[in-house]
Amino acid sequence: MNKKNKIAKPVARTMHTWWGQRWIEALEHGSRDVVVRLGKGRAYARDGRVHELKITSGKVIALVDDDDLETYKVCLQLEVFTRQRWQRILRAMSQQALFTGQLLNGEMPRDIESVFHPSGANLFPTSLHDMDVDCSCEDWSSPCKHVAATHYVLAEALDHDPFLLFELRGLSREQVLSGVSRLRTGETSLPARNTQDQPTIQDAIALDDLSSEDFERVSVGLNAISFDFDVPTGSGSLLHSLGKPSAWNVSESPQELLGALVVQAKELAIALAIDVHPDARLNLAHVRDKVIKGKVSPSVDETAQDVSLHVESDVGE
Amino acid sequence: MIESSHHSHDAALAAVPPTPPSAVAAVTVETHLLFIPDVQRPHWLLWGQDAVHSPLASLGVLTSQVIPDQTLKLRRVRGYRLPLLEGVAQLVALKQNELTTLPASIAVWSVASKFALELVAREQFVPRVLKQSGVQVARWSVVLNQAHDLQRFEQLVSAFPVAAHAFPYQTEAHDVSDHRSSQVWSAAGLLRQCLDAVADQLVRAAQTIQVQKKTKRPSRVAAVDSTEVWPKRWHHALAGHDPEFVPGGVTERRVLAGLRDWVQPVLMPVRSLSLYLELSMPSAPDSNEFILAFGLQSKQQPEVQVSALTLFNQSEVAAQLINGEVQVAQEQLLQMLAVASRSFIPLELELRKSKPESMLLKPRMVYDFLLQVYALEQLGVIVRLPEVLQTEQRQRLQLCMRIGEGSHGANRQSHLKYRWQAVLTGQSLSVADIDELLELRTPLARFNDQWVVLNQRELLHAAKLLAQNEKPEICTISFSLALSLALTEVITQPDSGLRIQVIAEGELSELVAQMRSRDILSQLPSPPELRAELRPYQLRGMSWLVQLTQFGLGACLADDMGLGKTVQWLAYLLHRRALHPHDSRPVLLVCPTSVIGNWEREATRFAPTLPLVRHYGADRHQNAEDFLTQVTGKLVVTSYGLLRRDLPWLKDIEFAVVALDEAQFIKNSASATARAARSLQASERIALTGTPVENHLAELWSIMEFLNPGLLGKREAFRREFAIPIERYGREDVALRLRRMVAPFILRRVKTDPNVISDLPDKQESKVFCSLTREQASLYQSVVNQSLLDIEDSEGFARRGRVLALLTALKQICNHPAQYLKEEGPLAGRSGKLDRLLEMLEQVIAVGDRALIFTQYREMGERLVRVLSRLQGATVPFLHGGTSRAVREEMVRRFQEDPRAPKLLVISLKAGGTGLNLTAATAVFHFDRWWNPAVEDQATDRAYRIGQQRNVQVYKMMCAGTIEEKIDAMLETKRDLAARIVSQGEAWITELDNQQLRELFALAPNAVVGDTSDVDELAELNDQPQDRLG
Repeated sequence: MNKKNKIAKPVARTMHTWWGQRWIEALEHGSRDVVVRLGKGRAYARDGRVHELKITSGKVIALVDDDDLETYKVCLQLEVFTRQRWQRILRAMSQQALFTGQLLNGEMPRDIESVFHPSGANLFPTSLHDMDVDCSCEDWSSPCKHVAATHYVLAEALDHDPFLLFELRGLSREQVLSGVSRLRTGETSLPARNTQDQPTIQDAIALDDLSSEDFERVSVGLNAISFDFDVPTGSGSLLHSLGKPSAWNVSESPQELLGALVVQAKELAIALAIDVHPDARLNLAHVRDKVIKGKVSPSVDETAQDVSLHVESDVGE
Repeated sequence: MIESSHHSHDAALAAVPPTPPSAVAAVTVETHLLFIPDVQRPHWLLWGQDAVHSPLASLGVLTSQVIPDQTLKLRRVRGYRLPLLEGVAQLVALKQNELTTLPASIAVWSVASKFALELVAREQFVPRVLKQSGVQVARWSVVLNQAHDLQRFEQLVSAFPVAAHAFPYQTEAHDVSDHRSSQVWSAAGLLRQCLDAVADQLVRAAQTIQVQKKTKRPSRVAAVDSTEVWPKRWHHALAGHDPEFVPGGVTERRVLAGLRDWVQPVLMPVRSLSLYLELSMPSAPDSNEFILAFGLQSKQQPEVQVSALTLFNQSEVAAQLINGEVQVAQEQLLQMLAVASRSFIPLELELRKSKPESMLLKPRMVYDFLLQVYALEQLGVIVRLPEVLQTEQRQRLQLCMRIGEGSHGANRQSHLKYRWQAVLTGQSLSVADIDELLELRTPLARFNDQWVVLNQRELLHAAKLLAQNEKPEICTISFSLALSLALTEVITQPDSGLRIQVIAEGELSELVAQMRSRDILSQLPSPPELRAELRPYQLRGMSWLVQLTQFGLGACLADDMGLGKTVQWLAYLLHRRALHPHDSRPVLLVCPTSVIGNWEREATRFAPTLPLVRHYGADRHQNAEDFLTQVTGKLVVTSYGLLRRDLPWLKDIEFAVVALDEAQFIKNSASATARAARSLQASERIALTGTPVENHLAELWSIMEFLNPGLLGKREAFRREFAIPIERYGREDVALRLRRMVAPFILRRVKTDPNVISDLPDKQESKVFCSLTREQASLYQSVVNQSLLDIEDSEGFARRGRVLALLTALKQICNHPAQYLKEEGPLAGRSGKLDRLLEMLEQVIAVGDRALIFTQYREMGERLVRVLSRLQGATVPFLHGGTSRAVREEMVRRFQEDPRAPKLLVISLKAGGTGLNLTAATAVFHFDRWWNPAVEDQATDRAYRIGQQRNVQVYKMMCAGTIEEKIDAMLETKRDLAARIVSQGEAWITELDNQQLRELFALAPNAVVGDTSDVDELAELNDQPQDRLG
């Protein structure tokens, strides 16, 4: 295939979260002589050759498809902390609520290691020597490209979910959260009750449930709804408040990337609402003309009939 | 003879082809608007049998769509497909007070469009990644996470008629034969789709406009290579025409998941609890430390809340309070606090604790917190502030202009002193005080034991103004400016944009208080020369006009039609003459051509001592010198058309008074008529109008600019700050502010006003004298000349027939030349009577009243329907002898009960026992005369019946100087004639001798003949009722 091209590319450092980056550094630490294998591992990772990635209490298992059409099994194992050690770590974490708050927002607190060091523990491995590495391939060199590929994929998983780093040390997300919570409030278990989820918007309704008498029902109180266009001159403040998504691997923030789009849409909305620019509509005419062609002929727009109308759904639902 | 007259009518009716069925079927107005959530091209569908009349239709192309119809059966309907944003632009222009008269589906989508624009204007939208039609796409979605927005969303949803949301949920599933199992969009679901679609399209349209601005031609946002890095491609998918965003490799699939989680906290109401931040004042009076507490609060039930303190320390109690899992709640709190700490960084300090419960804030931090309130609310955080720090209540520097100190005995010629004042917490500041405050260098400080918000720019500006007080000689203004400033109360400094409170002092303040309370300063006696007895409210009106103008202020008398504005103004004029016997400057009254005759009649009737000059016709004065020789001390009556034409020299004349009758003629402030009116010179300015000016803000501005130039600010600023927020966006607070500003200058009494109603008879009749157009006059003259010769040559039965034929012809010409000529030509501008009817009906519609229009000719009725439908924006029903009983009943029912039905009903029925009950009407127009009071009363009584709660105004329209006015005058003076007419109809005329006939039929010299249009073309062009839909 086009693997030559990919190998020829220099090993580019993709942007990772700081904790994902720390994880990769452990792999690359002292592995200068293996640049080619690392590059290949990265390419494998990028091509989606790593699958069945499983992370359970200190252990990572993954399958990697090789160019030789074989699939190899990779297993990484890290030191799992003892209960006593974890207890000390969680106690330290419970001292600062920010740790929990940031982790829940998909963010590893910058100073997370400060809760591990007092008990002599390290959250991050410093090099591959800190873990047991095993691959079913014949390659004796360490890391082999399959291990490297798994490592890169794992880094991306960590970017997305920082709790996985705790899982690699033996404690699941739920165990961390409930442990910290118990220590914070000093109670062994917190009262639980059935949570009432609020009703979500019901998108569809049966036609039979509607009444034809309501077809043009005169609604009251509609003119009591008021709107306010005296808005502060902002610049993507909501994007700013949201911070960065997990796994955001670009140097610009979302606000820097999209702020201008938000502000220009806002300005157009105000112009349409207040109608200050008489040319706002004029320009819209161009937009319209692009969307609907053949406006001049007053015949039935045939294309309109077979426009597909699909219900949209969120990714992953 | 009665037989014969009947016969001629029947013959006339027979000549007209039967009314086409559409004219009858149009009794029900049917237009529907539906949002079509097509993922590729969301758009609007406008359909229904009247959709073609809707101005929205012009935006669209014809299309067809399978949707449930009025019977909820799936059917392929034809309609117009409108582009999304163009539709939005039109829909948001609809006024809130029009909503009740619009088709229900258009009304809700109008409000939804406004909602969408507001959300985008407030930046309440975020990018998302979605799967649409099996493809990953990047789309923008609105964020509905604030209580106010959720509440409006619910309010709007509950107003949705089925027509506005019943769109098949999945088009693949639809099968016309099987509609039982089909699903349609719910109101909430479709509204949400629409809000998202508008936000998404606005972002993309804004980019297209940006590109156009740069390249000066329409073009696409530059294409992006598929091998580009994902942020670039994502940006492109969010900004361009193609939203597709295909993730490349594992990395980007993770990115997608990250992007989805990122906006979840604000996007979906998955959580029923929100974070609240509550700021309280320092606990001790000498303390500088404010308290910021926080906790969780239910979105649906604000009373359900739990503080962080309870949540972390009393978990049993907390579980009770929120009826939920405590650990989950604790984690929600911490997570949201961490998010909020990005906006208000000091929160991080509290999060460094094990159990964040509350924190203390120094004044500077409090100020930073206040600055972040908006951003926090965008995240869905509920912010509660102590009363003194709420935006409206905050103590801050107040700049004041105090006018009229020691103004004892001032009159309108005086100049009044003013001085500046800077007030903080009720205390007046010296320049030294301000310097001290500036020294503090803090935005929030304690002053006089109160917390005050300080702004350096305001303080500096205040210091500058206070320095002016040192030079009292420059601090004076004229009395009338002082008065109008004081009545305005708050002015905005043009250079700084700062708001300044105007405070009247001394006698000026008493005057202002009196004017504001609408108390007439003193009730003046009716002038002795007035030949009419003024009703109490009319006397108040006159006194108000006299006194307001005495202070140099322009006054707008806006009483309901029929309450006698003319007589009040004439009384004012007589009063004024007595007050200023040596003022020889002329008084100018400008009115529509159609009422010049009416004015002359009313003036001679009520104020016979008032010398009146008609500035009208070809023989009028053509320059200032000639004009002035004739008009000294007189009332000059002219038309809007001639005001424009003779403006070049009229503007040099100094008038004592300029009054505009039917002042809505200058409603378009940019029109030549309005500009001409504004450039006239006069000491006193008055506007008379029957339209509720306070509800038509463009008109209000134009009239106020004529009366009191500059009072309401520049036109564009007024539109932005007052007209649009009030009319389109229902801002009651802004409306109140404006009402307070203009109230002293407008006197408007309505018929239902308890002070007025006790004065009024239940039924009021008035005669409306109209002018003839040039076309009508020459037609009239030639028909008379020809027919009289024929009549004089004939005898007996033939003579009688000819006289009656002539009578009918002349009545038709008075109605409209097109009726007499039996042609289908244009109608507007050819009949003075019709023009006057339109002017009056416009006012009836403007105040929300309903009217009946009677004519004895079916062919005139049909022409009226044509013109009135245009005025009404919907087909006006026509009830005549050929209307079937069922249709007649439906017409009556709609007229009586349906708020969305046309406000007008044209009737050509000869009175009879048809049992019509039309009490919804409060105005009755007799477009032509029966001459028979009994017949006319019977018609009038359709509206005025037992059970009618309101007063009914009856207008009998006739053309001045024509047969119509002459017969009317004869009936007034000769009682026996009236009695004969009741029994014989118009036959008596045939018994008149030749000489008498000549006098009766000849066009009188006082007939006004129109020659200049009152409405200039520019005004016509700008007054297109673009915002009337449905």
